[in-house]
Amino acid sequence: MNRNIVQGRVLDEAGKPVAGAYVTVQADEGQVQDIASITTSEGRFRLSLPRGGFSVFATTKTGMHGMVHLSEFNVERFSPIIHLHC
Amino acid sequence: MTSKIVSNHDPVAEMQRVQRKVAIVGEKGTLPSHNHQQDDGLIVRGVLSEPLVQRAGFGQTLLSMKDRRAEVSNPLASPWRMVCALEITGVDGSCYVGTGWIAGPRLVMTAGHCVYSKDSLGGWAQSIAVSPGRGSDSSAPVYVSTSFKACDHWISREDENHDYGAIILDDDIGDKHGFFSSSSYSDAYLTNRLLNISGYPGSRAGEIQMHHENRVNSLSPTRIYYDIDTEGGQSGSPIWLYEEQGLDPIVVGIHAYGAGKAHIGNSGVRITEEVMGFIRGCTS
Repeated sequence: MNRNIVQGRVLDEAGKPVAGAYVTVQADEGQVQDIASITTSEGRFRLSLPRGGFSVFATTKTGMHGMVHLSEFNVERFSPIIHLHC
Repeated sequence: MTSKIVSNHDPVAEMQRVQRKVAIVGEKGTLPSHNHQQDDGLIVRGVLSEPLVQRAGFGQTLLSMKDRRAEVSNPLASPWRMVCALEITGVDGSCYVGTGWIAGPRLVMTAGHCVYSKDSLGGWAQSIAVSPGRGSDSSAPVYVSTSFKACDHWISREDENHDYGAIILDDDIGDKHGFFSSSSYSDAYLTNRLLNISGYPGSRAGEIQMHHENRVNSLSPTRIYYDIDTEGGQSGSPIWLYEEQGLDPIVVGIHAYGAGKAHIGNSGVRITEEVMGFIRGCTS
C-alpha cells in the first residue's frame, strides 16, 4: 500500500504548541483509516495517509479548533501546521 | 426494547434469508439490570429499500459535512457499555484514539491498525487503555493491555480487507459489561439491512460515544460499505444489526475507513468465517 507519513504541529493563536489536541482527517477522494492522533507536549502529531488530498482537523477539550487542507501540490504536505482559534 | 425503525418485513428479503452459519453468542453482563437494554431511541433494525438519509453530493467521513450522529446519553447501559474507548500508545510514545467492542470475557475486538501499524505505531502498540462505556464524567473503568493479536494478512501487508485485531485483557470485563454476539451472514441477508455504528470520535476527545445508523450500501466478500457518519477515533467500532424478533445486538463488521467522494461510502471489515475463526482463536 502506498502511504505517506504526515508529521505536523498544532499551535495556538500565539504560536505556542498545543499538547493534547485531537487530530482527525477527512479524505477528498480516497479513504483514510478512521483513527485520531493526540498531539505531544510539543504539539506534534503523526498520521499515515494514502496519496491524495485531505482536510486535517484539530480540536481541543477547551473548544479550540483549526483545519488545514493538504493537496498533492502543497509544499507543506508532509509537515502541516494547524493554527487553532476559538 | 423499543426501536427507531421496526422491520418492514420485506417479503423478498425474508424469503432470501439465510441463517448465519457460524455464531458466537454474547452475554448480557452482570451490571445492574436497570442499566440493561436502554437504547436511547437510537437503535435501528430491519431492512429498508431506500436509505434513511441520502448520500451527500460530496463524500466525507462525515458524509454530509453535517454531523448526523447522536450522542449516547447513557453509555453504561447495554449495548453501549460493550463499546470501548481506546487510548493507543505507539512504540515512540505517540498517542491515538480508537474504538473497540467487547467480543468475549477478556477480548476486545478493534481495527487492525489500532493494534499494529508500521507507520503510525512503529509496529505493535506499546499499550492500549480500554474504557468500556466511557462517558465525559470519567466514571467508566479503564483496563490497560499490552497483549494484542492481528491476522497474518494485516501484519505482513496491512491489507485493508483484513484490517481487524484483538486486545487481550487480564480482567474478565465481559462478565460484568457483557459482550456482543458476532456472526457472518450471506449477501442476501445483509442487503438493505439496517446497521448501527457507535464509537468514540477524536473531535469529542474520545470521551463521548456517538451513534449513527443507515442501511447497508454495498458489500464485497470482505467489506461492508455504508452511508453512516464516522470520524477519526471510530476505527474499530462495532457494526451491528438485530435479527427479526431478536433483542440481542449481533456484530457483522468492524468499522475502519472513512471515505472521500471517490468511494461508495465509509466501510469496515465484514465478519466472515475467517474473522469468526480469529475471534474464536482469541477466546480459546
